[in-house]
Amino acid sequence: MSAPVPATADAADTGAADTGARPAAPARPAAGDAVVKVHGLDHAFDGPDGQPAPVLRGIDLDVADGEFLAVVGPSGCGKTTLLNLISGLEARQGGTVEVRGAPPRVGNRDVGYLFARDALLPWRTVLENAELAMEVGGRNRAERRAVATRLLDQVGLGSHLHSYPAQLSQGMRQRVAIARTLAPRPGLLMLDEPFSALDAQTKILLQDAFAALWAELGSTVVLITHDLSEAIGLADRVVVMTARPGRIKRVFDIDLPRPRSLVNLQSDPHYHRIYQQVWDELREEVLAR
Amino acid sequence: MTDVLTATDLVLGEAVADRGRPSPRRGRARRRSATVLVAQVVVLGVLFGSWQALAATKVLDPNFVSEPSQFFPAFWHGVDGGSLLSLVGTTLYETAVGFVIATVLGLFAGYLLAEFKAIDAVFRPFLTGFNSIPRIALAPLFVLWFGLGSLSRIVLIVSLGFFIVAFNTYAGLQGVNRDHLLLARALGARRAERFFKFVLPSAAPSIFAGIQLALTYAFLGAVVGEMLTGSAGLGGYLALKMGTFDTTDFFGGLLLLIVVALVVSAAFRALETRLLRWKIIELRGTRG
Repeated sequence: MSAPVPATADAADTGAADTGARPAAPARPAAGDAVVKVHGLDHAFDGPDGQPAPVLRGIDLDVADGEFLAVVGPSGCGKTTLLNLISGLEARQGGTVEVRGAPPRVGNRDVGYLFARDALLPWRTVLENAELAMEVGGRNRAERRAVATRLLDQVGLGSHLHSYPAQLSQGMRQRVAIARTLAPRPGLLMLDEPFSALDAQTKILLQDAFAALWAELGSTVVLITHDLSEAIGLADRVVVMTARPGRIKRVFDIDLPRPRSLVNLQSDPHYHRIYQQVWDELREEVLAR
Repeated sequence: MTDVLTATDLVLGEAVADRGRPSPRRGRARRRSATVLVAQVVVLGVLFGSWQALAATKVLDPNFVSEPSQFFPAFWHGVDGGSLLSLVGTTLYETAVGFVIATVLGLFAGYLLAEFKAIDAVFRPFLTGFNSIPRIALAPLFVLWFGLGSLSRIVLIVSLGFFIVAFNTYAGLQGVNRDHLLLARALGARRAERFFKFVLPSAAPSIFAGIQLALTYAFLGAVVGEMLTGSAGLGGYLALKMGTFDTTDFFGGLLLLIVVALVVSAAFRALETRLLRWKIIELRGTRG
């Protein structure tokens, strides 16, 4: 664990006790190695009555280098706001946020984003879309083309390089978005419900494809999701947030060995035990709304 | 879709290869376009045939409607002898100059309105106001100010086309998908990159539609302007022939007007398939 966060300690007591040892988990780096540091974060939006409506309260969170962190919570608990604050898309109100020791800055080329909506540019082919992040990052054409082609091949789009987004299914489009995001090899990945627009089967295939690519890349990841199986299946740690205003309710260490496959986890009893524990925490918050 | 080889195809070897191979789908498409062509010829035949019949049997007075057997030779004589061609040359010159000026100014104005909020706030009401004036009604004023020559027609054309291009450019640049702008921001795109890689391509179909419409209006402005002064170009010729009740030469000139308009619009259509292939695919769904 990277910092003395109370909720984390709580999880270590209760959660880790029954989930057992973590043979395949990577060693946790020291506190100084945290890529993302969030401390005492408060945030409020303007309510309908003109009064500020708090969305986040007292968030303390560190994300270690190379860690895959998932944040789950009921709708409206402020998890997307949390991501926007870490990425700098939203201006900070109270508390501190640091990304690699500096305040977050939008357009940081070391940070990659993946959202529910793919935002593919319809006038660019699949290949040109996959090159986009590298292109804006100033990489030369030959390198861009090579990297994008290889990644598209890995996500199963090798035969669609010259198609336009309008010719692809939703799942294929999101694969292109994954390739575009991972192509510049960002050190930090911010994922906001990246698979939520997909049907159940496409989703699980894409989650596995993403997990494989991430394992190769080794980036630090912050994943915002309302999908528990996605959070548990992909992450090293799962943060459960309360209903609005969002606080951190509990943090679970996920000791499932890697490499994992969401397809195979469906038949793993240990996975279902963890799922039950996390869901027990989350259920109250979902019902509280 | 036509068999024009587009710029995109040249980049994509796969598509070129696809075109080289005779496929059943392509054969069907060719047969379909041949059927369409035959049908169009039949429609033309029926139109001119019944026109001819009605005029020959004096159901319609040939003094008023002429007849195809008269005005087709008049058209061909004018084209072959070069007299109509030199007239249409003047009309096309005015159209082209006015169109280019209107397009350049319109693009620039649309860009300024879209990119700078202060300019938008101050000037857009004025533009909307000017645009609501029926410019054709101003044509006599332009003649008074700029004389009987081509200049007054060019000013008329610019006054028509400028607003169309400006408003279409403005609307296109404003209508950029918010997800694309968020992506540009997240990727750290600089201002110029944001404009050229995200905003401008998204606005291209709207801008292109505006330019196409401006060209139609430019042609219209040139002919109407010429008819008004009766002095030059195809419009002047038409006004003169109408003034002497020479309907045969009038319809002959009109025929040339239609041919020129069709050629220009076909050229623009070809340009569109070349530049906006993605939009065509998007509107059609999937290829084929």
